[in-house]
Amino acid sequence: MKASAGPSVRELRQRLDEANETIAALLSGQIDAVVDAESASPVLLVQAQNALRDSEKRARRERDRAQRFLDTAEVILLALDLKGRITLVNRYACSILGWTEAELLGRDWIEVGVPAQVRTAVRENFRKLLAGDLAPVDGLICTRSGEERQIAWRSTLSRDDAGQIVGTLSSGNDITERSRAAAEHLLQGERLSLATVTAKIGVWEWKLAENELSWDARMFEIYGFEPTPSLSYYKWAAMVHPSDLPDREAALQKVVAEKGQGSAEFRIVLKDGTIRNISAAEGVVLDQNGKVCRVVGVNVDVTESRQAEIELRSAKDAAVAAHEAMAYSAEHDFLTGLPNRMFLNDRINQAIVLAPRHGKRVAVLFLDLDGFKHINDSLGHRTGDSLLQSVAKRLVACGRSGDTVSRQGGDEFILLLSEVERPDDGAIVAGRILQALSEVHSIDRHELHISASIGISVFPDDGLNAETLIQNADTAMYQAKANGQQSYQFFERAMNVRAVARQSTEVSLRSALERREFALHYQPKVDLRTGQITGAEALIRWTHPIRGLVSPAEFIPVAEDSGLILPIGEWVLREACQQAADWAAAGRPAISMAVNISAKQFRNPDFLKGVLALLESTRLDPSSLELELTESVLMERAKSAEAILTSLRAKGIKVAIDDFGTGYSSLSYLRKFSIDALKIDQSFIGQVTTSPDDLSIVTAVIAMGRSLKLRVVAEGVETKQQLEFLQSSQCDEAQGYYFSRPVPPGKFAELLESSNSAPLFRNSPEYA
Amino acid sequence: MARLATKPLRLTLRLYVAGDAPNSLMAVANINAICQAHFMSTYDLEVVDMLKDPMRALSDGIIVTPTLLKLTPVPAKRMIGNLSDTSQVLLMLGPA
Repeated sequence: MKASAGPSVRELRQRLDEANETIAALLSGQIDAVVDAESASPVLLVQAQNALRDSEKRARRERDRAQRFLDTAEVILLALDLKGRITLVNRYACSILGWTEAELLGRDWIEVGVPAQVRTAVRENFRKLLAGDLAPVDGLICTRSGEERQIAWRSTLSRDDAGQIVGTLSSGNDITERSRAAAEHLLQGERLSLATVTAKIGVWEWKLAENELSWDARMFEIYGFEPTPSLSYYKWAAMVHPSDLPDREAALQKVVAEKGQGSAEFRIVLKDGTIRNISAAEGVVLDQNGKVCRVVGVNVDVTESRQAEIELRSAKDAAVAAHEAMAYSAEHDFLTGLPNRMFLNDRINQAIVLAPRHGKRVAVLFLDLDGFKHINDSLGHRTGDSLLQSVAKRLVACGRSGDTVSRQGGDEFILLLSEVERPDDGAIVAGRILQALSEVHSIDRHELHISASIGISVFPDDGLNAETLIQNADTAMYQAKANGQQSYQFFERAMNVRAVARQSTEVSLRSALERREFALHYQPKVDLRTGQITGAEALIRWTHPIRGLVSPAEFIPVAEDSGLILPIGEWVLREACQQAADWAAAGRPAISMAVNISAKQFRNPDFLKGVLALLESTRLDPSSLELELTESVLMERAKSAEAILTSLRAKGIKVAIDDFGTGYSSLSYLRKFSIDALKIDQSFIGQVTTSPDDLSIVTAVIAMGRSLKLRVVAEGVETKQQLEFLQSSQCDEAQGYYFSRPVPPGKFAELLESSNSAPLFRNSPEYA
Repeated sequence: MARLATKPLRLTLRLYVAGDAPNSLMAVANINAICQAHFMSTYDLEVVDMLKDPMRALSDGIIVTPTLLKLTPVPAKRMIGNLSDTSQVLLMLGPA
């Protein structure tokens, strides 16, 4: 009886262990088949399922068993029929959903368990699932209390014996906590750690494979639109501020590529155009294979908290931008964008510090365009400006990278050659520039040709600072211009002497008017038929207290350049008018008083008014005044000149073209301008009896004047031969040493007195 | 005995499966992987399909699949499930 009847305790324990193991394996779902001990045949659990389905009783049994098994796992199990009605739901699912099994069975799952905003998408997924798309999906479910949870679903199809699909079977893992945990992990970042902003966190998830975005309600709130199930990456991207999108996308790609985390700030544009600032952080979720399957991230609307900061920053940016713009415009020429003189001075001073260290010199090239004024006046400022821009471009192209091209205003440019070996290098660049500029400039349908004159000064030879170098280059440029256009000239000390003399002349001129150092002399004009004096040309004389008599050729250009020509010219005009009026009042024979008008005077807007006022105050008969203007004065401002001349002549004032033949000698303006007389330049008269060319010119001018009904006056008549020629050519008047030098007023009065009875020349019999 | 002591018995395993059911396939894959890694080629594995040879399963006292039997060396042991827990499997198979 001892131990032979039954199994030992050890055997019993072993069987119990095995039974427990079997149950455990069963519960963990690792069992495929069981052997039915009674029939001694194995039964596959799947087969059992199918077999049991025939009978409702067996089906319930099977279901109960499966459910008991499944209830133990923390996995949502959900079976739906073809219409999406719940046919099976496990206990875990019920506990999450907050509904009882009885409440759920037979209900439309999407209606009861899916949040409204994603229902359309879930229906679409369900349709796809039934069509065989078994891809895992993540989705939101909605609990009885309204809470949303994130579920990762895996689904399969259930089929009947015939293989017909009868519904779906899905298992879902609640990944809400995981998503939150991931999000919260990301929130550790400094950017989002503020308690104030965490309250407004929107959570999103981006499934890479499907390119689908899932947003929580807060995300929709932040982005300002109704929750929609059909979110895609592109929909989100379309809302990101275009300027921020590239960075944002790059950041996301980086997060995916590096399987890491990221954070950034960017802007989104709401439907109504409002711009919001978003602070974002994101990280990846890896699948079992270590591949990135999702990106989880958070968005926080930080617009309000950033507003103050942004305002502060934008105010600062604006200030900086304004400052930079101001700094730029202070240092650059508006028209050409080239550095201006201020900037250039800095550069030169910089260069003269650096160049000696490298054993180099510095060259300053002062460039002035030849005849630019003419282009500006005849074609308009706009064309002139375009030409300057074209010149600027070519100058820049001529320089090396370290050189500086600057515009000084007007048509003056300065080039700084920061490091040159020898002074001659400056000449090479100058030659290159002259060549480059001489090529045609196509501007506004004009083919413009322009040349330039360049003066060169070299550090340290010609100056030790920017100011001196520029000044000396300027002086050399004037010399280049005097030498002939399209040339360059190195600075020489002698030029400086002339410049100094010029300077002292200017200083003296300034006080000459006050000191009454000027006087007018008058040269008679003689009627070539009668020999009588018809008029006088008023000519200025300056007697410097120390230098004595100073030639007009010396001081008039200085007066022109310095602007002193205006007060001096006005004095001349007043003095001449007064003299003429005095002579008339004294009963002297009526003559016309000719006064030279300089370009600057004529350009002065108050010129016409001044002349008229003068006539009034001196009570001189306007017809006794003749204004002598050179061709270039008229041509410089042809339009306004025409109007002024017309006004002058309307008042009875006469106008004569001085130095005719030396300037443009355009025949068209003789008809256009309202003038009375032509004065043939003395250079023609001087050789009229020896040079056939001059003879024919003078003959032609006289003939032309006659046909235009203009009085023709010959200047610089010095010989009897000249006089006789002019008479034979039927020239109207003449002046020159042959008749009289310019004389002081007292002497002129005498000449005038006597000319009535004794003509200034005696006619040869043949011309009588 | 001396021979056995110096040359231990080869590892002999028998795995009962149910056709190509998922857990069965997993068990085959797992046991192969574990043996390759830990026993090199010094083992014999016989895979028995219970669906084709149910009587043999019954004779071995198999009531569920997959079930792994360790036949030698003694003591004989059995393990139920898809053998995904490698450490438990190694514990059962004993030292290599």
